[in-house]
Amino acid sequence: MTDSDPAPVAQPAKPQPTETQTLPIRDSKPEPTKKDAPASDGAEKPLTPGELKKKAKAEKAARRAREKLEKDGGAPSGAAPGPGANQARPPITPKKDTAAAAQKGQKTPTARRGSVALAQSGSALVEQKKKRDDKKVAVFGHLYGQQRRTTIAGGGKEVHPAVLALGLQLRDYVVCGSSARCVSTMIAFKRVIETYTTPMGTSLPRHLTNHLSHQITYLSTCRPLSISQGNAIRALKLAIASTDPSTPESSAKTTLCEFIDSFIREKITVADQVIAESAAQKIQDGDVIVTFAGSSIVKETLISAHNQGKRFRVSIIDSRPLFEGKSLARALVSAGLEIQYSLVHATTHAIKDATKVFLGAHAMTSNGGLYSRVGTALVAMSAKERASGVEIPVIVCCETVKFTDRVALDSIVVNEIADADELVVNPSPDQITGIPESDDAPAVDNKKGKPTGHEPPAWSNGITKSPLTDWKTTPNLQLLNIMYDVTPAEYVDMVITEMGSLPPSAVPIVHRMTPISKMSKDSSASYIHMHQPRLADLFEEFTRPHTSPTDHNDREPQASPTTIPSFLPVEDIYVAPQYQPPNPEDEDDVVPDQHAAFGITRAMDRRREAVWRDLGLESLVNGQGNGDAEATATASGSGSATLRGSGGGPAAAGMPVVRVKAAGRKMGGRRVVGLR
Amino acid sequence: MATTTSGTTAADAEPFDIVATYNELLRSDPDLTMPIAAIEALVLLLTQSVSSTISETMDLLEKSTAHLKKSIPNPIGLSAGTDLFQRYLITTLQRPGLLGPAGDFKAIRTHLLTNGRLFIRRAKESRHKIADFGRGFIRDGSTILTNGGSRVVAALLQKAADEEGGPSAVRFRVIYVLSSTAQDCDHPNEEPEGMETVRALREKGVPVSTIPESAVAYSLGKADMVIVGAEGVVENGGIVSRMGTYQIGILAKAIGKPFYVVAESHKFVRLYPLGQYDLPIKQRVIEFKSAEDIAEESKQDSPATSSSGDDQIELPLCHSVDFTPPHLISALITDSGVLTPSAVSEELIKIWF
Repeated sequence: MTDSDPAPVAQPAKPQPTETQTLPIRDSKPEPTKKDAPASDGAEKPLTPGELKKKAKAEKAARRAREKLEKDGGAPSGAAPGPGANQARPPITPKKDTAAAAQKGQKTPTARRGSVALAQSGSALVEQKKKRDDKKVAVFGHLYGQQRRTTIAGGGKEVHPAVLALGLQLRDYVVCGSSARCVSTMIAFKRVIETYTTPMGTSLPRHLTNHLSHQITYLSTCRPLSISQGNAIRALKLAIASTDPSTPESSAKTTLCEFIDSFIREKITVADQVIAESAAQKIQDGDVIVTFAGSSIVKETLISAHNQGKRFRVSIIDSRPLFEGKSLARALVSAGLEIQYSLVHATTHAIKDATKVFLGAHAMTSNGGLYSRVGTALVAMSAKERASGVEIPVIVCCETVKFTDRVALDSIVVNEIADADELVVNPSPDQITGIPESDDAPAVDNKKGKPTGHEPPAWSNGITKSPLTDWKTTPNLQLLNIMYDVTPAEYVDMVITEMGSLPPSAVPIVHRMTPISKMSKDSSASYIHMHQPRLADLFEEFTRPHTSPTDHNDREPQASPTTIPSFLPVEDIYVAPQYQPPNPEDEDDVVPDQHAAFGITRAMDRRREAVWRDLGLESLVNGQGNGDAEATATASGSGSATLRGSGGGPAAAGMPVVRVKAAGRKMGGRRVVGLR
Repeated sequence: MATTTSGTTAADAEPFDIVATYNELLRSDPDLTMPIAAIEALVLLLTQSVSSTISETMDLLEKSTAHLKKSIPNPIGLSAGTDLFQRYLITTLQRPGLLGPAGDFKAIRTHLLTNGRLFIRRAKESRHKIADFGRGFIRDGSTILTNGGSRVVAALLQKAADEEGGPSAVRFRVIYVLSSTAQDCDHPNEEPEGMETVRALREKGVPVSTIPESAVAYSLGKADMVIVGAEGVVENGGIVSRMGTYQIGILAKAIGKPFYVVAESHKFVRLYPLGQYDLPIKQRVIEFKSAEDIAEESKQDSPATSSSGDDQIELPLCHSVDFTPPHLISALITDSGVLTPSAVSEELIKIWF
């Protein structure tokens, strides 16, 4: 306490180094510290009021110090402490961490390195800052956003405990994998909804969205949201927004919880089964399947193929630092499969006798790119560009909830950067052989010529450490730990989804059909196609609001209101509350505010038009061939209003039919004005 | 079509044999494609059946489809038709109103049957539509390389030949690849398939050269484009076609000539082969034999050919097919327009979802 408390006051540099260096706590010692971090959080909670006060003081000091630093350094605020100056939250966390650690008398590397910075003076600060920037790989500079949250502190009082816990699990890769993250998020949100009560003076559809966005913000500070999470959240928000404000809160909550359950079931659980089933059909006896890292759906596929009695071999390629393939290998071996496990450097070797490549996906982009764990592209490409002979089919298993309308041309523009310290291998503490080496802490101290106030942690004694351990202080050494890469569409032969097998080029088409995508305007297809200019006239005629009959008669005497399909003046159209666009302030950026209105009404219209259009089946089904056209037309009126061309051409050859969906008409007035 | 209908209704008493009907339909009408014959057979089946509920109908349809697929050595083209018909039934039955589940079943049935007929008629007409679309591809002075006995290709070439009355307004030449394997099978003495088209084209004043398959690479330098037919267009935009198409595709790609596929959109089939050996048919193209095996075989002689279990029937060599992957195809000329291979999946998704 005594050490760390005066630190920020005396040393403006304090918050900066601590911020970066808190991370080694969890990463340098993968297994044990993961448990440590929450433990220390737990220990923090029962702080005495006095301690709290002290902490608050420290925070304030830290903030002030940072401001001062920014002035001194003259650098933009965004550069160094990622989170941006106006947010009080992030600086708090490391600070507190140190405080807590010091409190407990724990000698962590954090405290140690923090004290190095402690002794630095003003000019050295700027230098240090520059050095920090040096540690960013320039090409990926735009991806170094906010540091991942290290504790649950400062999460905000609105954040539900379930979400708080989930956030940490996400951060520590306890919950890892696109589907798992999506499911756990939805389950956590279900908890949130269950315990939610609408405050006075607002309605559930309006306030709950807002309430959820606090949770979402918290989660995204723990780890950037995955595409699947984003899609799930979008769907949930859509469900919330389309709740009738007049429904009683309890029933609305039940409906939403059911929605979450069915979303998980439909989009993930059942989808996975369907995909595993159809992907397993692609596996034949004698196959050698290569897969990369650990995808849950590939696991299911392989196990279900194995259960069908197929005899094949699996070769798992894995990579640092997450080693997701290990758990896959474990699961498959215990299911009785024959496994070969190798790391990514052995790709060409593993590919040599492969017959198929199965890959999981983090997301599929609109241009057919596969966005998946870094290294996937390497495997896919080596499968396609084998030195010897035939290409191997590359099959991707992916739920449609992971489809996105984004386009990824390379792995640089969109990616996620994880903490580079994950790449620094630390031998496990129970390793007994190895050259005892002097600890890094004294080394650092010697370099800087400053004494430390802390002893090196006990566990690091007598353990060989990675040559990368000092990467932060080693000049000209940068570590890059990106999470994903993009495999171009031409390296993927097939995408197996719950809607069937597709070529990667069909991803945007399928994505467009899912209701989630209808939230954003960019990906939605326009559904009135006018093939002839005459039809456009007709449509215009139909949608023209007539404010007064006289005005109408002036322009076109012969076209009396009876010949024109009736419509209401804009102001007479009653738009039910659930169809009204939500308040833009309640929306966060997930739903572009204006388009939300379109999305909601469009999504209400879930019934899809059956298309057999190649052979003119639409008119066939309408009964043209049968003579019962009238009956069909009226019958199908509930889904889509069909109106025959009246002003322009007679219904002779093509039978000009303008179809206006029911949902479109509900929004009628508004859109009409826009069209004109 | 009328004759076949009356022919089958005559055999009313005995249980309806869908396979026989299908084969009969194909034989009686040389212009009929496999998917259309399958649909027609199914329509006839519905006419014959006494089912009175929707689920009964669907069940019957499913069973006979499965039976039909199993009994035909190459069910790829056929399954396009049966799937399409089934899909059509489902969408029709799902529609609200008189023809929906709540409506009168009799009305639904008559509606289905009438429309089924209409559908068949339109499908036949689609060949002309394709010819209209494809005509523009055949330019004056161009040389076209084609193969197989595709009727759509024949229709397209003939349409281009007798443009605007007079003898061959568009002057083009055709290099016709005649298959050597197609000869020795059902009718060993018959001329190779495609000869009929060759004769018809020559009649119209189009200079035609016939070459063996081995001369494709040699002749491609003289050709401007390749136009082939297809038995089925699969989901990724590739085609399943007569053996030898794949190699023409590869050669065309290597030499840099456009490779066009002409196919009706009812040939789009829900199938996704990953390669040549991933097709749902059994064909013995590659057969390794030693002198011993040959001796063995000649001893047993006959049973070797018909050693089929209860699963897929083997496809005879003369009807063998291969798979041309989408990256070799420049465009597909269909009755719903000229499509890129990747647009096929879009069309299929539109039909199926």
